[in-house]
Amino acid sequence: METNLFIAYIGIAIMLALTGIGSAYGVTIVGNAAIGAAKKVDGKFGNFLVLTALPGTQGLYGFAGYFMFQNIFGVLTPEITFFQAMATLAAGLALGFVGWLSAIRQGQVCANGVVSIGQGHDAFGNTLILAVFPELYAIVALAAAFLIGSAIAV
Amino acid sequence: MVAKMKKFLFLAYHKDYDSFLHDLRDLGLIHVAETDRTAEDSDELNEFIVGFKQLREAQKILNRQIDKKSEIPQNEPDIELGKKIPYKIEHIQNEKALLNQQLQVSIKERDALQPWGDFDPENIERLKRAGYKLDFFIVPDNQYNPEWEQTYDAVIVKKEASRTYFVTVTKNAEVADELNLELVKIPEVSLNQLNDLIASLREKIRHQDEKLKELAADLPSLNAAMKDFEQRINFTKVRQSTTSVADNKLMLLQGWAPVDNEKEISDYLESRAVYFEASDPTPEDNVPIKFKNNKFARLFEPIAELYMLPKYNEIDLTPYFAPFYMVFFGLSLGDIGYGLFLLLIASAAKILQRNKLSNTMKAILSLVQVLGASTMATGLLTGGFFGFALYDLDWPIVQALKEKVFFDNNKMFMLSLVLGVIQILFGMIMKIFNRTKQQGFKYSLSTIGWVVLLISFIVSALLPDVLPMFGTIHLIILAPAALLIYFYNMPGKNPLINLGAGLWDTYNMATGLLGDILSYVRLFALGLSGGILASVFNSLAAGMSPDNAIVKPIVYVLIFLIGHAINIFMNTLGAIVHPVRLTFVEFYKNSEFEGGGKKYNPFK
Repeated sequence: METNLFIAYIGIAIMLALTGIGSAYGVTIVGNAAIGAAKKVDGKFGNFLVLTALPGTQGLYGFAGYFMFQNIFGVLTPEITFFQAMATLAAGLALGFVGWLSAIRQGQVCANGVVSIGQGHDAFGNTLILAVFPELYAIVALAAAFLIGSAIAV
Repeated sequence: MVAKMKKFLFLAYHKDYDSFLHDLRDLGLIHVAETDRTAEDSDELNEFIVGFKQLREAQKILNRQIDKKSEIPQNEPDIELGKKIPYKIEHIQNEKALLNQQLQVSIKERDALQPWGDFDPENIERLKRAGYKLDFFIVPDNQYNPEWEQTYDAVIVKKEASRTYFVTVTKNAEVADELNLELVKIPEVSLNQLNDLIASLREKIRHQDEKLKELAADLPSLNAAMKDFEQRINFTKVRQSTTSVADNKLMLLQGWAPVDNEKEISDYLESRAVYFEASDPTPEDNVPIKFKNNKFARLFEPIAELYMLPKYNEIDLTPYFAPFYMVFFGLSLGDIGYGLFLLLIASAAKILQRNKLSNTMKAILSLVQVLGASTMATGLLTGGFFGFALYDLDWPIVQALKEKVFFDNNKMFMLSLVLGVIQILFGMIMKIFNRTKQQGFKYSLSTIGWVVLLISFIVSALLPDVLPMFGTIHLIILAPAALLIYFYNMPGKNPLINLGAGLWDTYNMATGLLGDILSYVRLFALGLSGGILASVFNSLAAGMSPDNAIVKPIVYVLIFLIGHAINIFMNTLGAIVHPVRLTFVEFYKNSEFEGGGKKYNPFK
């Protein structure tokens, strides 16, 4: 049924768009801080690059989620049932929102770390550890999307 | 492992004190215990620190002067010369700033003069003396009145950008007031002179730049001076840590050194006739920490240092998290090809740059080798090779391997949780040892109770035939465990307080354990998403390359290389960071690691 497929694709769109937007915002927040801090300290660009890349993963999780539904579970076909479509939508909402907000928040943690390094504190290791905390929830959401998908897989 | 340390107490006569400190520095094995008191000669230290900062700024400026294309021959290092460099740079920069200011003014004047053309201001002065006053005006085109040509002998010099530049020639009439226009001030030099001036200023600035570049040849002197200051700073700090006794006649200094070096130190100090006493640390001492691990665990020390060093009487967990970290990294990256890539890159760097690499760099490359190998091994579980599914190959050997080791996604999901359970239980066992070491065995009793309880539940869940859940045998095991948990968690305290603390522990355990174990899902999710992205890049490479015999392979290879480069970077980053978190948060928390030790940093 076309309507079912339509519902499922709405879920996929939310999944992709929100996680992608979140990551784009997250890396921008850190990137801005890094440019400011790079003026103050030399030779820390490697640290900044790593911290800037951290919030970039949520977008990838969104994409991985889409790929699972497309290729691994194989539900995105015209034969999709209403139940499968709603499950896909739910997975999209969950992963989309968690990825979106966690990426932005993670970006803020990283940006504070970058500022701190810019002021001469050796905060790289600590930032790295703390910045991974928000990301766990995006990972859990991806795992949940995987479980939802496994339950409805053809 | 934390290396055993000895406490050294030195006593020196105040007149010999500086030479004693030099001896100590040459030995380079003693970590001097710094005292908190404000020393009277901290002015001296401040002076060195300020000097050092100046030198560092100068170094930054000079480093910018060096371009890779034209190598500047470096002069022999000279400390005294090096110390003067910051002043030289400051002088050059001041000169340059002054010249730049002059240049800006001259450029502004030239811009003002440009429309009027080149003339000698002397001529205007001469006309004035002859009774003819020349006034310069600029008006918008539409406000220019041609009648002025009659009344004031106005002459249009130029029309540009809808403005009219004109000059009036009058005999002392106040033209500006009459026309209600603003007079244009004309510089007292001609355009040609101004141009010459600007050129010469530019030349001077260039000259100053060259001077700065020449200074870069003295970078070795600057570095030597920095080193000198650094030594002085260290030296002064150590001297300030000294306590003077007996009317300032005797100097007392406390230091630390590894037990392994005790003999060497004693021999050296005795040969220098220094009075010292070596003793074992007491529990109150803040002993500096030096790692002493075997070849494998040593590789993971940089990771352990990311968090905090253990306290002296604590168990160093580095050797215990190392194997877990290795496996976790492998699972998070989870691609045989990527593992192979890391292994090859690190090995190549080690072989090709054998002579140039520092020891720290070598250790890091060895760590990369180990992690790469681990990734290859764990990658066999899923069979990803640069995104291709290895187990889709029809070769008998591959299929035989698949039969043995292949894990599908659901199994991988379970595997990561199981690894979590194992590491957390292991952490709790470490907690038993840690508490026994620090506080005594009876303080670890409640933890033992928890471990027994958890393991008994796991066994009865997995093997209900051997140990039926809540069967008689199980209850017999649970009863003493519960006793330990609820009545032995604070030895020597009131049983009611113990019970309360036990209930609080139960609540924490129930909520904490669940979260801790779920946290290990990341191992599965990271491996899965990395693998998916890798295979997507392969499909992109295959799908997007055009149908052309020559272009197709080029485009394919390009997309393949760029895509996998991005993916390797992102995934390796994740594979480093996430296991680090599992180690520091989940594992360290459950093994009750406190940390906060200071690093052993000998006075050199």
